[in-house]
Amino acid sequence: MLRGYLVSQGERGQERRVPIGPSITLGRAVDCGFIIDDAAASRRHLRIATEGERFVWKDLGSTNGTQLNGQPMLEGVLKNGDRLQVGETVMRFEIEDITDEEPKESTTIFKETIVDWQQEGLGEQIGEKEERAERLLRAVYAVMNEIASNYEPCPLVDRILETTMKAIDAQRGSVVFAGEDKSTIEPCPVCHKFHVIQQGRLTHVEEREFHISNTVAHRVLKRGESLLFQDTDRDSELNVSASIMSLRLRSIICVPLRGKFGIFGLLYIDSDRAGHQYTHEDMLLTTAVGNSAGLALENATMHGQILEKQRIDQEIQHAWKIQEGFLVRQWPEGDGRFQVYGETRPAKTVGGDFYDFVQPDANHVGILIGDVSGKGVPAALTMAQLLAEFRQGIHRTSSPSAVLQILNESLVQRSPKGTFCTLCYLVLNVSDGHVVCANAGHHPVIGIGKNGVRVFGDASGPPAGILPTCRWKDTETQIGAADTLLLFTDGIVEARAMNTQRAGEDEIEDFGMERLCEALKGHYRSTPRELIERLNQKVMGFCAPVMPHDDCTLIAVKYLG
Amino acid sequence: MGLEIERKGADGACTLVVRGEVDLYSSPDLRSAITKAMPKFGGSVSVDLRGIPYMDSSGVATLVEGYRTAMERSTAFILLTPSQSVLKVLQLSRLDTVFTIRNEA
Repeated sequence: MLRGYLVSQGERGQERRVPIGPSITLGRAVDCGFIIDDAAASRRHLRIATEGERFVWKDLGSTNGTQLNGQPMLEGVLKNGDRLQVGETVMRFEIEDITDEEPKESTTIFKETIVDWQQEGLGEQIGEKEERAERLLRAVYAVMNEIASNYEPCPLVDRILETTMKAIDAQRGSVVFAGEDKSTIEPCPVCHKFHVIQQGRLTHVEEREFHISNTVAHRVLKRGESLLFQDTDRDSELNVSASIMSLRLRSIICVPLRGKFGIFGLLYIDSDRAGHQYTHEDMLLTTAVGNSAGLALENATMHGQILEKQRIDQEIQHAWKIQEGFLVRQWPEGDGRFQVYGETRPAKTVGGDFYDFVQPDANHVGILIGDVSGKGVPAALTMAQLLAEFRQGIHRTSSPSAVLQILNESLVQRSPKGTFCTLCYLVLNVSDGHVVCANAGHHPVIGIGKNGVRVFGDASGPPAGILPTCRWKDTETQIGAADTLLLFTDGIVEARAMNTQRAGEDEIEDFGMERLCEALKGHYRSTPRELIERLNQKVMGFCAPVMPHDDCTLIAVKYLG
Repeated sequence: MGLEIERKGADGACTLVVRGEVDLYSSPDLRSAITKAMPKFGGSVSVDLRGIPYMDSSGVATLVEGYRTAMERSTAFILLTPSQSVLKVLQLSRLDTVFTIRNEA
């Protein structure tokens, strides 16, 4: 009779050899007979089946495919020494003739005993039984005390483990958490490591250094019942479990950790020491701990989440203050040649909108508007960096497109790959109304004058921060006395409202360019500030009762002539 | 609304068919799908955008990140048949000049 084996190399070079049996599924999921700890592995990646003397394998529609001896393949018959590869993980296939082997090697690895601790306590052992009961109570009491005084999830996990393991003299134990669909186990959600106590020593280890019986973990997560395994047990399902065999485990206690919303983790204890068997009593104690510890851990995690949220909220407040500090708040007054005003109304999170006003020389004023992709602190920092470079850059060149080029180079070099920034910079000669503007992927400029509203200065290239050698064009135009130029960001034109006018059909509608231009028509006499306040009111009214979802930023300059 | 991302084709030359709105909340899903599909060197990644009724700037940022990673790895990064609204966003910001856009029937 032939038997197939899969052999793989562990982290530290140790070999893992798993018998194939009638069939075996390989994949990332914990209930696979052979778990492939590789990001490229699908949950159920491939399957090998024994068909008489043949070993047939088939890829189960995996995402990243399987290689047989270096060739991508979908199925086939395995030969001795074949190499199956999934991602970085290589498994060697071996065939052994087991016809002559003594049956005990393959079928009676685990011998029979019946666990019944109540029977064990007869006669002279009664005193010992009382002692055990007291030990159990003490242990539960100790854990409860720890739970009552500990609000930090990580130390709480450690204390639960320490007190439980001390009480039952356990060899190795861990608290593990359930993955989303309860088919995987995860490390501590706070420190992202597995809390493990081994030979009395507490460590926090990475996933790759941590192996438990996945069959047991999976079963307890699914069924929600505590489990005691002894290698002397006749439980056939567990006896053939590849993980128990490959880890050479002799005894396991695994109990569910229950919170308000069900099972979220496991208290897992095992031993690979010969003759070291956990008892039914040990399991009762662990279960008692598991029941209370679950709630306590859940509370501690929630407490931690609240603190974390408060911390993030504070951070966002800080970021917003930093951002505000960079934006112009004092607008020049009393220069008879122009008026200027700008403002940004941030959405819930800190966004990447910004504006700036500069006076490169006595006869020119410049307004800049930009929108950094993304939100939060990274966007605020990118914005701060861009503004600093902008204020230096305007003294190096008078051409708006050349200024954009400077900002582009800096952004391409320094920021993360997904970060880019739409920018529009326009310079007005306040002595003659001549305007030069350059636009990198931003909305065009709106000119408001006696003769109506016009749109010009369309983007002449993509946003800054994408292509290292991008060039933009300067667009020139002439405006008359009392004309106003307005720059705005996405938040204005993409402000969304639910349109319920059509019967039974809700439709989301954008504020859009048309409404924007319409709102400005006939308002050429307004100051920049009045125009911007009017627009903000229009947008708020449009979105009501909800607030605009994105930052609304506007800046305008009026040429007085 | 969640994002549905279907992966078609072989490794190194696959197409991601995306359906749903790509916004601040769903763009991380698109990002991780693109990252996973991206070969270490060469090959191509196509993103089919016909099933996207709405994409905000975070979605655009995700595509830009994919584009920049692809450039570094000499991988072709192709946007397939963008919906009208996606195309409008790309055209407005002139990103249509950056991306390779192909229309398929």
